[in-house]
Amino acid sequence: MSQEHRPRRRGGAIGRISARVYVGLVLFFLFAPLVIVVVVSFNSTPNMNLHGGFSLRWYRQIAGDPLVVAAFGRTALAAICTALISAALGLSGALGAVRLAKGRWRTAVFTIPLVPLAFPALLFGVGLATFYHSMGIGFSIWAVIAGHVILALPFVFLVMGAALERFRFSLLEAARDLGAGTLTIFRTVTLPLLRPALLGAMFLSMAISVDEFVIAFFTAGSQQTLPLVLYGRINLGVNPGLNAIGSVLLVITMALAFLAARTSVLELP
Amino acid sequence: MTLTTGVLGRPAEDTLPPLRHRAKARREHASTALLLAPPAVYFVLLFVVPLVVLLVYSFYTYSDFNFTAKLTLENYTQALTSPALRDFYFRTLKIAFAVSIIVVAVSYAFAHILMYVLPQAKRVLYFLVLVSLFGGYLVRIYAWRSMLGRDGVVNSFLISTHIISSPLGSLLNSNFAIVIALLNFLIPLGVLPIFSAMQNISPRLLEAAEDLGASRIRIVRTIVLPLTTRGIRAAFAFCFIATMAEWVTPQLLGGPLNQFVGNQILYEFGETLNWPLGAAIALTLIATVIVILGILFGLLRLVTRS
Amino acid sequence: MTDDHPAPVVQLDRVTKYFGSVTAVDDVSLDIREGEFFSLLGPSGCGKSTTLRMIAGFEEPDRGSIRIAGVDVTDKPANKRNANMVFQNYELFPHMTVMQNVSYGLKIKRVPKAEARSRTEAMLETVGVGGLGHRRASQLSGGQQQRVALARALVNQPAVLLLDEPLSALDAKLRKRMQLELKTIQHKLGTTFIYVTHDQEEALLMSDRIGIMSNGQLLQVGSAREIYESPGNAFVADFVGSLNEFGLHVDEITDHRAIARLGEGQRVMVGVTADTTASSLLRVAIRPERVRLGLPGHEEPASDPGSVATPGTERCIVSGVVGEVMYLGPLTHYLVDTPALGRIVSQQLSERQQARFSPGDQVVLSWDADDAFVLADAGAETRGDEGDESAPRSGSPGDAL
Repeated sequence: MSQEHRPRRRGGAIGRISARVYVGLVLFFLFAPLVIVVVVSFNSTPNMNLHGGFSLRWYRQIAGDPLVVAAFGRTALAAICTALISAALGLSGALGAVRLAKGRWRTAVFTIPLVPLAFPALLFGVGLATFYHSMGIGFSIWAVIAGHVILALPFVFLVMGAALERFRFSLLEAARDLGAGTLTIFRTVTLPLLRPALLGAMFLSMAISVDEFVIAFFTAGSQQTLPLVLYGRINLGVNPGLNAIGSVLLVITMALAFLAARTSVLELP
Repeated sequence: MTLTTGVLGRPAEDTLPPLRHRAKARREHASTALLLAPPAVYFVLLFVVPLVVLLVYSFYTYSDFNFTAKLTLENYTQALTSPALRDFYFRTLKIAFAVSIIVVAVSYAFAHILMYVLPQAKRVLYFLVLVSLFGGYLVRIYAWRSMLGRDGVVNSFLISTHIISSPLGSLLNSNFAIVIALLNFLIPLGVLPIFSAMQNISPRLLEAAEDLGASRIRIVRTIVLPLTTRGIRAAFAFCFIATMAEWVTPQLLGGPLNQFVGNQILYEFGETLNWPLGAAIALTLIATVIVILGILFGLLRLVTRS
Repeated sequence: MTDDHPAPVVQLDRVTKYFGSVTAVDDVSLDIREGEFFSLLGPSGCGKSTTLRMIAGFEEPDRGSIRIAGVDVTDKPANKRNANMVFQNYELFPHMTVMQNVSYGLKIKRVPKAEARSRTEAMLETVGVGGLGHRRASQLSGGQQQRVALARALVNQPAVLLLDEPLSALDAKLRKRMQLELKTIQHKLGTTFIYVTHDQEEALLMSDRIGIMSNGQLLQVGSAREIYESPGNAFVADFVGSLNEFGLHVDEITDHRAIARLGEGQRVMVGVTADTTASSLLRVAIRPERVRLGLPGHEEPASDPGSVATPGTERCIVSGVVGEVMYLGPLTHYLVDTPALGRIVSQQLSERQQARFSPGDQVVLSWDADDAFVLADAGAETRGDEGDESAPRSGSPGDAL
């Protein structure tokens, strides 16, 4: 962050008050649904308002539901695999991209991986479905993971790209001067120094994978992830049990996002 | 004593030692390629190729809940000329535009306040917005579905405060519900690019404008706005593309009269198993979106240039 | 080798490096002797750092070859060479302790742990950071980091230690101290040092021999005294130490001297080459400390400890008026305006109470003809183009200070 003077307060008191009100309203709008989902999930009665007493019955219920538990396991598996694969590919790509001299190639390599970010999931989902179908590959959690990696790659690339921008490459020269080979340099200098950013990117990938719905919808087949279970049961009617599932998803993704922010901020000097 | 500027015993030009091949440079190029290869291969294999396959499938022939590899243009004719589909398009477009415009407006105001009105809370507020982004996609849709229902919190609230006497049934299964849920999900996505564009404007620049006598409004209009158009365009494009391809929100929050193009695609893939037609609709959808955005941004460029 | 020096530790043979259309290092050949402290000196961009990096192995020469301890290393990568570098920004690994940093190279060579530890600790003592082994680099001061970087390189006992302007990030006082310490360490260990710097004082102070570079070319190699007293060309003369420069219109030539008579008893003489003729225009230079300063009428002006006073025909005499007096502590510079030759600076030891001369005083400058050099640049025509050719060129104060 460059040196910033503290910016002068602009506008009068009325402006500031209405600004706070506005920000408050927007944040309320963004968070209220999430808060309500979590609160209602602790309802002791099966209705959807906030009047019920506190109870964990719905969590007990989904914990005892084999379908939910299996889906949870698959979601966790998908998240971890997505994180590992996208981290490896993203790190490799970023390390390669950063060596390119400025020019057309460099711009291309830095923008093309970002395309899946803006690309509609529906298109990608049906594209994957047709692809698997044409190759005779069955739908499964692995099919989902393969798709999730594509979605996570841009994020990993961005995070690692930013970290490499700040990286002191002269340290690698010093290591080489002291006799280290390429692999040793990577193992003892590059990787340890990139670890915070890499961890952050992995948490981010996990968060994206856990929450992801559309790709999973088209490629999971019978091996449903947790969002798919939630989706399937919505059509059976709304009840706090679903809120429990939703809360679990919610808390996990937000925790992962939080972890991602924290680990990538903890940089070594 | 006389000095010259000669150099230590320099031999004549034509006896220079030979040029050495640069083994090191070649090694470096090879390792760069090696590093870029795995993600590049993966990207092509699992992103580009599926889209190509989708394109190929869009030319297949359909009959009886099955399709064959016989090539035809039938799907595209249908995709481009079906009147029912046109209705879907108009409906989707209407909402996509509305949502995108609202998101840009709301996000811009939010980002502006963060940067210039409440800068001391900037970091915390931005962090909160980012976190809310990860609050889930399906979970939010589900949340609104339960909140807007007859015995959902919204109705309970309205009744308990005596604004209405009996629950509103029309909150759900409506465009209103769809829009609300989309806004809920897209506003954080809109704040991101606009905020980072604003971050890149040096405060010195604004001080210079102020020093030259510009009022706050003029500064925003003549300096901040032009420099953040890229962020605004990105936010608009994100929202527009996302909404045009939406199908979950209409399915869960809209009624039979509120379905999007995306739902039709889903129908072809899921119900009738007419994958070729679904593929054709999907591809024409993305083409349409690109064309519309292209025209829109082109017009914008013309307008801002004048 | 015609001299009786031992085999050189580092040999550069016609090394050339191109960066695109720029020739960064132009046909450099150089022998570094074992145990010597050798400096590569020159202005920014002269190619000295590039040359050093080629010895280290971070750049590859486009022509020529490099040998270290008798081994041709031109094709060898940096990690396989018997050389270690101390980097300008130290480049200590931030995620390791001092001990881990310094023993990094030993670990790679698979030196047994106990031996590595004792060698590391001994080296830390030698460079003066004995008890700091368990700290991290970020917890050390600049000077301490510098020493750790030195230790990290030296502990590997390389055939040659390469130093790339290692002291440039330190403040002046610390620099002076480190200069002496580096010299002491080098003497103690006997390691060959190749030191790159743009600071000529530093080079003169620390080096056994100096190589001066400019525009990619190696202009002169010699001991500090050789470089200073016998500069091989105009650039070297101007770069190391300071010079007074002026134009001189030759009036007559004796068998080994060109004489210019400047009126009112003033005369300047310089040595000549075959192609100097009467009425040629020469550019002449003389170091400020060789210019003696005295009152008009006195044949023996203020003493100059180092000069061999040769009275009579070999003395040059110019009169002028003191323009400014600059007191620099141990030395005082007198900027004298002479109608004949422009501004000439004379450097004297400072008087204790006050300067001997003040602005406005009429003085006589004198020096021995042997102390002056003639500068004969091939590309010096631009100077002659400025204004009247016959008038002496008035040197700007910056030339001589």
